[in-house]
Amino acid sequence: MEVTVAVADPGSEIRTLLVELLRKRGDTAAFSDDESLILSGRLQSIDVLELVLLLEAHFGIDFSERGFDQNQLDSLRDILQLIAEPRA
Amino acid sequence: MSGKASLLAAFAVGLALLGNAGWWAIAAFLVLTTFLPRQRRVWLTLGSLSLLFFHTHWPKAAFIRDLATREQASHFLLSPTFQILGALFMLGLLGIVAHLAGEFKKSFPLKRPLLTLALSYFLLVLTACYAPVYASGRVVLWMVVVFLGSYFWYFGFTLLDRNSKDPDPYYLQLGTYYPVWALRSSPTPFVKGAAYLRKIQAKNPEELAVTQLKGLKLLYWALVLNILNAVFTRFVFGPENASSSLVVNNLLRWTGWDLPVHLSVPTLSTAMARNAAGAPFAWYVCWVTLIASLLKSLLTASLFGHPIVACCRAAGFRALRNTYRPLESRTIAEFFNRYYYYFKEMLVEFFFYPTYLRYLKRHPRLRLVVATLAAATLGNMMYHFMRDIDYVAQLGLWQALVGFRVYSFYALVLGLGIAVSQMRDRRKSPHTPGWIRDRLWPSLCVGLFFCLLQIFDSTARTTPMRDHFLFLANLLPGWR
Repeated sequence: MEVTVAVADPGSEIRTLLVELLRKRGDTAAFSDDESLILSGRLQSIDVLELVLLLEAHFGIDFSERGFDQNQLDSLRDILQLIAEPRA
Repeated sequence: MSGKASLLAAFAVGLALLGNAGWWAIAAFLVLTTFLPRQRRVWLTLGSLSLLFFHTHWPKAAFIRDLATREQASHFLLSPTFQILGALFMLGLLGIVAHLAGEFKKSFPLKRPLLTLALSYFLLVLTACYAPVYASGRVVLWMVVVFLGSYFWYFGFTLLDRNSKDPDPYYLQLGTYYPVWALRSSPTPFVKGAAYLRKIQAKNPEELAVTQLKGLKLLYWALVLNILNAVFTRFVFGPENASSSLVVNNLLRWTGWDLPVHLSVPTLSTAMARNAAGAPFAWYVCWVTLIASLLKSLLTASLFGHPIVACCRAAGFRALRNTYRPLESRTIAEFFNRYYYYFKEMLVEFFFYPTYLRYLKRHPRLRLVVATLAAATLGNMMYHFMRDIDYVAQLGLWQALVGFRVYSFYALVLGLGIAVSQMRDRRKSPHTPGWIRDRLWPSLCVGLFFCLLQIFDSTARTTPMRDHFLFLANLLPGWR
């Protein structure tokens, strides 16, 4: 059975992860909610996996069921929209 | 208006100086996308379809011609008319598949359309190999294999676009199949598919202007690299193995001047052939060959990708560079990402993500390794096997598979290298102190890995594996 952890403030948790992933790449520049992070090359596919793990574990999103589009994880706002969408 | 015209003129001159035979077609396309930017995607489709008529560099043309001669097939099969009809038929057929894949998303076999497409392709190859069809029928069968293979990865992105919230209609997807800026040069989709183009297209005149200027800058940087590459290869490998450059060739012809000295370092193929013949070069010469070959391949990759991305930017799409400072990479995975970005992205989208998202969810480390091997090894092998499908017709399926073992080994080592590198990347702290430990040493290790790996980077089917390992052993001082 999948266990989903309730998250009080998704935006803040995801931003923390994004900041951490960018910091690992030596990128400490600030980013806005709308800023492209993957398509701009600031994050790589391995970083996308960290996001996927978080979304799977904390928000119960199953990409194998709903289909995966990397563009839907491109910015913080895109990710929050994805979380808010009804499950497939 | 005059600024835009000057920019486009400068762009056309840059393309011509790079020796791009289709500079006029790209320039005409850029005029349309610059002055009528709202219909940019429509121009892209019209441009892509026009190339079928005006820039007919057909995939595997020599192979089809030889096959037709051997089979004494009808000459009509080799005519441009038949080839254009063949391409249009294939695009129509793929359109029907795309429609069905959208309609029956949840039902087998269209639930996994890429897998179905790949299986269909290999079934078709088996049919072409073993069906008792001769003469024109056989040629047509192989043409279908070649055409389907040439559109395979482009069409894959169309199928992936089904997962988007608002996918493009098929007629817009067509613009991403051998887009004008790539001039039918590679079966690797440059730059990815419709979903990516939607996301990166300039949204307003300011963005368009900035994107076009970046495109122009990249094009002229490619011209600098083109000159550098010609001089570097002339100096290192000698005039007979130098890379061609329109600017350098003309300069040498007009001035009568040439480099006073050159090192005459053997090329990798020459060094390997000498090694296989039992008369190897000294170990240090082989090392110089390897290092020079790696540098040359980095320059070649940049020279291939930069003009394509530059044209894409000039058309108003903020595409990332295909090759971006690979020597600065601190990990193997980073090098793979920086060396040939769009090939890597294709493997990631078609193999890495689907494997990672579907399987081994309870085994995070194994999940990463398996997904990486699916992409960098399996996907990589599949791409190259399909790209060189003419070997199957020439050697027979079994020999073509057996002969593929050298590249299979290459892909396996690459996949394992990337997997280990990614696992270390996930664990490590951001930076270690000191420039040497943090930047230089990791970059040298990555460079060494790819230097050695290129010994096995061969898709030819006739060289025995032993020759590659012998060359590797010959790098050790005192081996012979």
